[in-house]
Amino acid sequence: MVQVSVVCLVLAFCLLYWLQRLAPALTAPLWRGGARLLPAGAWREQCEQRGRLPVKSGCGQCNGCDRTGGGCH
Amino acid sequence: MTVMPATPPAGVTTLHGVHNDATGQAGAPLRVALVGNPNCGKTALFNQLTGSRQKVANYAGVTVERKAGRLVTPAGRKVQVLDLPGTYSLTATSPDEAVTRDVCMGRYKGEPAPDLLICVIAATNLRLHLRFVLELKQLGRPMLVVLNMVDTLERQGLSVDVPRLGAELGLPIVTAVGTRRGGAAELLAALDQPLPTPPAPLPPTTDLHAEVHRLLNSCVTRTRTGRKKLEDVLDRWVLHPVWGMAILFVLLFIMFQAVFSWAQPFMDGLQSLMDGFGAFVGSILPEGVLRGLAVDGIIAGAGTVIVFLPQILILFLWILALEESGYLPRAAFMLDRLMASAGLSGRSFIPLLSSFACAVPGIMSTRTIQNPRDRMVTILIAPLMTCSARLPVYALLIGAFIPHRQVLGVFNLQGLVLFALYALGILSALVVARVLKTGEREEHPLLLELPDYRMPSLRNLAQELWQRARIFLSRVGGIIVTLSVIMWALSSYPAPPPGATGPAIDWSLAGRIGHFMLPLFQPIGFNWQICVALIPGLAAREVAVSALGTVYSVGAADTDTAASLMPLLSSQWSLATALSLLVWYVYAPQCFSTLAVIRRETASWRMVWVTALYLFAMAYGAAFITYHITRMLAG
Repeated sequence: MVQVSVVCLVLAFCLLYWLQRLAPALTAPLWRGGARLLPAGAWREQCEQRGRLPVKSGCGQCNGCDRTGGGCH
Repeated sequence: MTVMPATPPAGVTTLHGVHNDATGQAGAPLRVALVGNPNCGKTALFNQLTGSRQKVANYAGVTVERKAGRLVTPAGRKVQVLDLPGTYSLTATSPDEAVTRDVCMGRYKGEPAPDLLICVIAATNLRLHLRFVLELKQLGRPMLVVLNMVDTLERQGLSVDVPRLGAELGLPIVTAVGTRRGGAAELLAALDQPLPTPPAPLPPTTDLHAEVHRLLNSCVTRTRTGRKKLEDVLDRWVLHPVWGMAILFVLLFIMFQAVFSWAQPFMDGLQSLMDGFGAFVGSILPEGVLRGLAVDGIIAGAGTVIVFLPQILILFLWILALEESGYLPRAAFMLDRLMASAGLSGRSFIPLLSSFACAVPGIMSTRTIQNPRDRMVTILIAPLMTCSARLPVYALLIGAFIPHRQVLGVFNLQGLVLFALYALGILSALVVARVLKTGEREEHPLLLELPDYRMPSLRNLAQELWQRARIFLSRVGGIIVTLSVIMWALSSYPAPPPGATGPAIDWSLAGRIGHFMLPLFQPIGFNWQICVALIPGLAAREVAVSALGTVYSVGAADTDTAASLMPLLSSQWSLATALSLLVWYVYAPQCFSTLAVIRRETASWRMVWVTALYLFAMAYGAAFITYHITRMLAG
């Protein structure tokens, strides 16, 4: 039983890892929920940070760089 | 050309240690931007100042996007440093140059103009770099000049009167050696000083080239000649139409031979370590699912990939040494004619070469290509360059199926096959480029700055190799271990029903997926285990190796299979299947990261689909031909 529990935990961690990589929008509510449960501290900050979706910025994130000879900014 | 001066930034104060920005917000860091011609050492200085580890190399166009870092000066002043792509002028002709132009002029989206422009000029090429200083001066912003690479002046037999140059330019000037520890001390001290007043722009009618000549005549003296002669002799050989190509070919050939010959003892050592570790873990854990996960999942999966670390490091050692030496731009020059035959210019060479490490930075560095169509074609063919993630797949199959013997008493046969696979990727890329550029007759002449030759620094090489090893090991620890665990679960569950016959793995989810995919891949000789391994291989190529390790380990009767995938494959697969899989991986559709960066760089989902579909079609077609021809010949 202990072995099965450990394996299930490891498997859940790996699935979460890939969900975070492939679809961070799906895991963001999980992190935010986790942050609400945790007391203030480094772990909570980490959860809050992961709960925020990345903001697109910088060259290459906008449309038309190539069409206008790089003059889109 | 001249540039009209822009409005100087308002609200900038010059308090020592505390800086108020344009909005009057106290405590905001001083914002400085490193600008200059390509290959003048901006990123080396950026790394010195911020403790960052951004990639540096001895050729133009390494930095293609804006990078930011922070530092605190000895006096406690907070500074935000921007490292900008190199540019020859503020008239941008490519996307990377546009970033520099826009940041300098304060037009970059969401970012005010820097408080201070730090114009980096290489002491080795003042004639070109001073022209950009004059152009930048016309912006009328606070500015500081850094004369970098002063250590090479003596070797070149040159002497620069630095104070006089500063006085003539009307700008503060400091010296630096970006590649030496403590080489940016003068710059750090200058950042503690009050901001310099914006320079007075030159009259709009000033001939910048004539002004540069005047500055050189008054501030630079030649003390002796000599080193240039050695460089000229080297260039006479390296750039020779026949000998130059021969040197390039020999260098690449030795590189691939070394990947197999030099790495073997280290790989054997790692293999023994993994074997011992697998046996140890198997002996201490009780029989059950946890042992299955550890031995068949994690060790069989990640362990089979980790043994390829020496080969990857040797490949990078060569690439890094060539980068540092200044040889690569010369190789680009040599290959210009070959690239032209495919409708591309030598400018595509550096992005394509970067793709041998990984297609992601390769595709990003296409920003240095001015012609939009050339850029698109280069992005499309970059995935055909064999990235380092494919090396474990190649090495596994070559090791399993190609005998380890000498050809003509000198060449390693396995190294020859590896060389042939790389060559196949390159030739295919040229053919695809030619097809995509059919009908285009316009020629784009190559204008390339050849840097001075430099002896690669052992310290830099060691640091870069350490970085590469860390990247590889973190991939093993993250991507590969987690996928191996998932793969193990898919290969182990659901368990076969009571009384079921046949291997248990056939009842598992992975077994069912593999058998479902089999009809599509059977014509190219793949078995269901390969079909299963192709799916996680989309996350990263080397995961295909770990997936094969896991699937065969779970399916095997004994647990020792974990560490011995090579002999297992050679006994269970035919030569035709192995060659078919090798050829598949020359073309196979790319990992998700590459497709994502194509989407980002082209701003088009269509290009992503075009890339994935054409590569899949090529992979399938080539594997089909290889499989059937090998079967015919092998009987």
